[in-house]
Amino acid sequence: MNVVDIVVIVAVSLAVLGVVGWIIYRKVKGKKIGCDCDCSSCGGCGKKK
Amino acid sequence: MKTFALAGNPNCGKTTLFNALTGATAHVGNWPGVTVDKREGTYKGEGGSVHIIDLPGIYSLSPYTPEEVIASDYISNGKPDGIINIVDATNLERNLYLTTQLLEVDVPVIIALNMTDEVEKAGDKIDVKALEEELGVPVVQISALKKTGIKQLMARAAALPAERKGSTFFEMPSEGDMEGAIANARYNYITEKLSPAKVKKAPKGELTKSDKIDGVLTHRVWAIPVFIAVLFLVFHLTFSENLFFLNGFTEEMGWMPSLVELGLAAEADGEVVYNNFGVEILSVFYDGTVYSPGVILTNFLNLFLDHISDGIITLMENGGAAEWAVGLVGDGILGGIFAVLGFLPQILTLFLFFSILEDSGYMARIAFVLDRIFRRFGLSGRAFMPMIMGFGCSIPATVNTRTLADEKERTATIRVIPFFSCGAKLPILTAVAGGIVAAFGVGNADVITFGMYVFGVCTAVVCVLLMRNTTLKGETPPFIMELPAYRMPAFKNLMLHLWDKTKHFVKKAFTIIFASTVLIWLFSHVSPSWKYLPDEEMQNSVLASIGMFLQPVFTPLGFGSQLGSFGWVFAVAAITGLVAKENVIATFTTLALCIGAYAGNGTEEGVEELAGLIDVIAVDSGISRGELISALIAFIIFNMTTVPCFAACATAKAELPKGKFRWTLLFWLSVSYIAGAMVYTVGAYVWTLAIWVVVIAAAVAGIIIYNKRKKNECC
Repeated sequence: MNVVDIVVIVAVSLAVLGVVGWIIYRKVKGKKIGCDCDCSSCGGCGKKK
Repeated sequence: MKTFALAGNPNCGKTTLFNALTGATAHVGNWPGVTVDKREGTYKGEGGSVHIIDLPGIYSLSPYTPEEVIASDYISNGKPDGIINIVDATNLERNLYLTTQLLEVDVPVIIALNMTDEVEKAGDKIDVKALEEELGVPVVQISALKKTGIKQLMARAAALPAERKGSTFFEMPSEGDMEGAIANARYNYITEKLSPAKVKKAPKGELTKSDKIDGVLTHRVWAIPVFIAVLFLVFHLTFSENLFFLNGFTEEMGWMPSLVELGLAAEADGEVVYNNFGVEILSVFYDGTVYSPGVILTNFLNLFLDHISDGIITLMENGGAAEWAVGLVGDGILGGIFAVLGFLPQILTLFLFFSILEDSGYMARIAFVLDRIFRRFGLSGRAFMPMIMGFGCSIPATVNTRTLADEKERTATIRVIPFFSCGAKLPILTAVAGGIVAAFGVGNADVITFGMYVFGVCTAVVCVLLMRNTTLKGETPPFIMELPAYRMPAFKNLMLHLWDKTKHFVKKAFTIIFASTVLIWLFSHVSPSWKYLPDEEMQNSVLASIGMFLQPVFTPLGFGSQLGSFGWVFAVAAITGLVAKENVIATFTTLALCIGAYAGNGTEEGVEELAGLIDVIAVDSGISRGELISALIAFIIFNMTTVPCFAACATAKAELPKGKFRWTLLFWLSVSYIAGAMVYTVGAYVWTLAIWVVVIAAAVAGIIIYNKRKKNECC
């Protein structure tokens, strides 16, 4: 394994962990994940009736 | 900090004013009910900050619709420091009805007379001073769209007295139907005392420009054909690889020479190599056919992404990176993400056209025209609005169904919204349609794509008919809607919408799609005992095992066991689509690049497009061309109509009545499975059409008999 391979492993692992952390953060805050809107235009993201 | 509420009729420009005051980029549409909940923001003016609340558009304060209840409740109990009543100057009489009700409440009021520029353009005039004197409150002329008069409005709002006693402008009737009598009294007051403030240039009865255009676009006979033609033009300009069919309607009729035939490029190992970068740029616009604007933009972006991808892979190989590292970054991450990003131009082009149709006022007319047809299926024209929003994204479309007061109509509409293929499903339609054309040389990609959209709409219609005659039976509520005047869409608003859409698509690509492609690559390159597997041994991977386990389920739909050893890719792609529909194509591309490399496709780089994967599957499985095309179309239909992404499911669960979501899940799975099976079996074995006709006829007969029996039991 050379330097390039190590850089790839570290970078990809950090990026994936970052995405997972962001998903958990959005869930905790009650916001939608993967919603194709910015919630202000949805008007209902994270809100219950 | 003071609080002001924005109140006014739907389409009067409240949300535009809210955006102008608070700087938020809320969605601005031409249909009533776009804002279904109040939104808040802060205006920072010279006198300090002011809290602004955007109430839903209402025609009156009577508590019938959910919007009226929200607005009325807030005005009475929320105790704002003032109400900014936005009045559409082009529709004064109707807007002033709410004004007279607001002035009866004990809250300071200021009137913002919006769209006065349009009144003046039409040659009419409004005597603002006369309105102020009669109503006893400040009246300020503004144009929320052009952001004129807003500073003066807020300055005068800040100077409103702290308290105000409500006043009535007419004598309360003492007998008869009180509600009707009060409404009558209000309108009489408006007609006699307020309407004269507007001096019209055109004599009464003369048709306005909007009326003349409506003569064609809402014509009893021509409205629908014109709408279909407009939609076809939109799809053609977005997806067509033969603009306006300049190169003939079929391949045989083609007369335009390709770049290879012109000597500007050469074919080597199945790939086209351009003589120089200039020719490569030319190929974006033309290569044997003139491309449509959507395709040109896609070609530009793909050219740019290809160079980035090649550059990174070359850098890694020169740096001595291991084969697995190059595979992970090249095939997995870049292959998956760039495959999805490549569709962004077409998604934006389609979205732009729909925004223009919406902002111009045309979509509102279509809702009105379709009401007559929708009514036969148990829906009102009001249901058309969330359905059309579904072409953008199912989530705001589902939330928008709050405008449908009838619970059964709302449930039926929420269930069919995913059939109006959202932007995320567009890559599936376009890629598979393009793959069919490239692999088999049949049809036009844009015609297949348009056909699939139409199929989705037809499926929605059939399902609504079924639901409204069985489990969701009920009266279709009346549909009353104010048609806004036609107007040129504001360029800035359109660009803001596009920028919003771009931001969220790119964010999604570099988060969810990125994580998904990494996991897909990982699980397709490790065995169940966690040993690394090169591309040639991918069939033994964890992902392949899962895919092969699920593969038989899809056999009736054509993309199951009959697709041989690589068919599992379809099963995996369909499952990853549950996270985000863009994942379907990301999965295909990631896996296709690996499969092609060892399937002997003739190129070292492997299969780069779905067409290549289709070729591999065709050779490996030995199934006929007709069967494979039918299977691919069935795959599109399955993904179009099946359970939408997790975010859309969560929204549907929140909006549906209690207990309805699990049946909705079952509904989506059943419809997608049956529709896919029907298309595959009829396409591959035409004689099965007879069986389907008998089954459908029996089902329809059963429903009719059941309904008749229930009716007899009631009576």
